[in-house]
Amino acid sequence: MPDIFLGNTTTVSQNVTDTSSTGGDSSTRNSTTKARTPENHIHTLASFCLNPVGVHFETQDADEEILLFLRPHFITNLPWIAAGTFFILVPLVIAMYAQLFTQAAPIFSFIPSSYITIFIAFYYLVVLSYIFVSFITWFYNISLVTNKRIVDIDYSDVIYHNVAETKLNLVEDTDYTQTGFIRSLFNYGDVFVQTAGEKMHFDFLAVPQPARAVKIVGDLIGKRKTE
Amino acid sequence: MNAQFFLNPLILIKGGLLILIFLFAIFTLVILNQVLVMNRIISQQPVATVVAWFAVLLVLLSFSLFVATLVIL
Repeated sequence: MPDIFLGNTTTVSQNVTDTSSTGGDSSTRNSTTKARTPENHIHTLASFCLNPVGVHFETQDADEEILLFLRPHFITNLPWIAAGTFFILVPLVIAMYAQLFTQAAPIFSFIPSSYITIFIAFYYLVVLSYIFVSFITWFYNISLVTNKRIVDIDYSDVIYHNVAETKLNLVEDTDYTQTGFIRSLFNYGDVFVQTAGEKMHFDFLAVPQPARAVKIVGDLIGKRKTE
Repeated sequence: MNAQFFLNPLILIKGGLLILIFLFAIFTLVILNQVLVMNRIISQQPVATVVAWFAVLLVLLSFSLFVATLVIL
């Protein structure tokens, strides 16, 4: 008598096949044997990576593969980079016109140079930590799509972080928006994933190539529904 | 030491700076803790190690500045 209650014991290796535009490039990789290549190597400033190597998260299962790695586009860091550069240059400008300042405010001429040195050192330390906190706020804001679920890691305000995840079979719909000249120029936008889980929707804000990301997630949930 | 010593503007500035720098040093410890927590949640080697070491450097610099302020001023 044939066994009818046994499941399919063969493992299905999840391939992320992307045949969208950008010169018709297609990156098909067998996620069970991931070699480090320039396409899947995560570098410091990476915002979009298929089948990333060198990334894993705390609750990742042994047989779970990360298929898509997303972060906000690097262009979103320009405001704090500009502010940091300005704050770095301010003492230099003041030093150039120090004589004018001491003439305008004689009190500065009575402060010993050691105090001014310590104050400047403290100022630059504060600016350095502002730049560092701004960087890690971007660096740790990550969205992951694996062969089993979607993970959204939000990090903000130094002490706040939130990790949300949902299984792929609970994903109902995906869409994206890309409004404005800057977003169209640099090709980044917001991806929205609607789920049937406790958290109704996942938002991947300002991610690069949102259309491609939506297609990848859509293909995954399409595969899930046909399996 | 009498009361006039503490009313010296430079002493007041030194005291204020010490308090500020100490609070800032505590803040850098908070940043380091958050970096370690986030590196545990999501590991991105080898960049995550560099970020953690930079957070440690920030803590060391802030406490060094505190000691320098205590000694020099």
